[in-house]
Amino acid sequence: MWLPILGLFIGILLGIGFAFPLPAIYAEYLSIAVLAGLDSILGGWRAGLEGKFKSNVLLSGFFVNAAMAALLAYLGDLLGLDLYLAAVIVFGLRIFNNISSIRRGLLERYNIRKHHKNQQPSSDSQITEEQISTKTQK
Amino acid sequence: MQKFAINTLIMTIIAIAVGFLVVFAIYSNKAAVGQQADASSDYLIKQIEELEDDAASLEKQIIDTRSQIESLQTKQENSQTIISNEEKKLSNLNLMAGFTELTGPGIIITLDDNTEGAALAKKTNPSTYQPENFIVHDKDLLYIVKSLSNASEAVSINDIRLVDTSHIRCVGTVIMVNSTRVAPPYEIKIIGNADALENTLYECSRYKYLIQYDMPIKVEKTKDLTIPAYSGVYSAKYMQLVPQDDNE
Repeated sequence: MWLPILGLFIGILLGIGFAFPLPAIYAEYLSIAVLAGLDSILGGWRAGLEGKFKSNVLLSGFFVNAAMAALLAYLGDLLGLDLYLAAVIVFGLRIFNNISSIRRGLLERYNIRKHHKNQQPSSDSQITEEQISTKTQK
Repeated sequence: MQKFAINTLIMTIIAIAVGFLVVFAIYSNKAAVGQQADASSDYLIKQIEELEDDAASLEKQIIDTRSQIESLQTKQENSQTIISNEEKKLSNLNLMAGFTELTGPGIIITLDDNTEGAALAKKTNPSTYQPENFIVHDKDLLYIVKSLSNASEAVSINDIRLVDTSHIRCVGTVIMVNSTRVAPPYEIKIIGNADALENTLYECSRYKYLIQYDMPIKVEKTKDLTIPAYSGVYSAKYMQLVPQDDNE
């Protein structure tokens, strides 16, 4: 659980270290792609919490969604339509859906852990999040 | 456990990618906005500089035009001075040539034939009577006018203006002034210092001679005398200007 969050920070640090300014016309497409990427990772987290995580779904979703969002925005520019708004709305909605699902999943897990602690109040065995996530996946 | 580890690894990689992309996007966006701002401010700066250049060149033009106006004005003033000088010269020359009517102080000398004396002489002494001794001759007028010439500025006889080329002569029994016949009484008007003219006249031998012969002469000093303009022309058929160098 903590590793992906650590990875996020590593990515941010890498970005700070190595990012270079793209030309103004590509900056917009990149922003859309970032939105798609955020949606993908949140979706992955949600799937993990719900025990439906599939690595190929996450990977394909990450790349295809980002590429398609950027392409849609580009097409919109070509057609003179603000098609990137569609991507913004769809990914925005999905991000909020994912966040709410994650919130609910986390709350559920918290309740389970509380219940577990109540059952064995004197127990010295520590239940890690990894163990819980493994349990929920199975 | 293996599957879990792979999943976590994939999640981590994706997270790294997303984190990197987020920063990248933010960075690019900022740069793009900055570029736009830079571009617009560059454009504005360029425009300001252009306008400043324009203003400077226009100011220079104004200064040039002003100096042009000033030089033209001085030129105009110069030419006006020249014109007024020439006009003064011309009017002076006209005055001296006698082309203008003149007024001023002076004397009026009135000469007449001695008709009374002639009649008396005819009656008392017909054998020795000589009529030419009792009339005014052309030389009487000429001598009197010429003897006063150094004190006179303008002269007329019976309102005929005398100028440099004027002549007084007799044709038969008639006196002609400027080819115009004049008849007694002869009224000589002279503008000048009246006292000086009078004194000069009294010193004149011809005047004394005429007095001796009892010719009626009347001398009148006046402060307001009018002498008409010369109505003739000066002839310039033969005379020519001597060419002069302009190096003065």
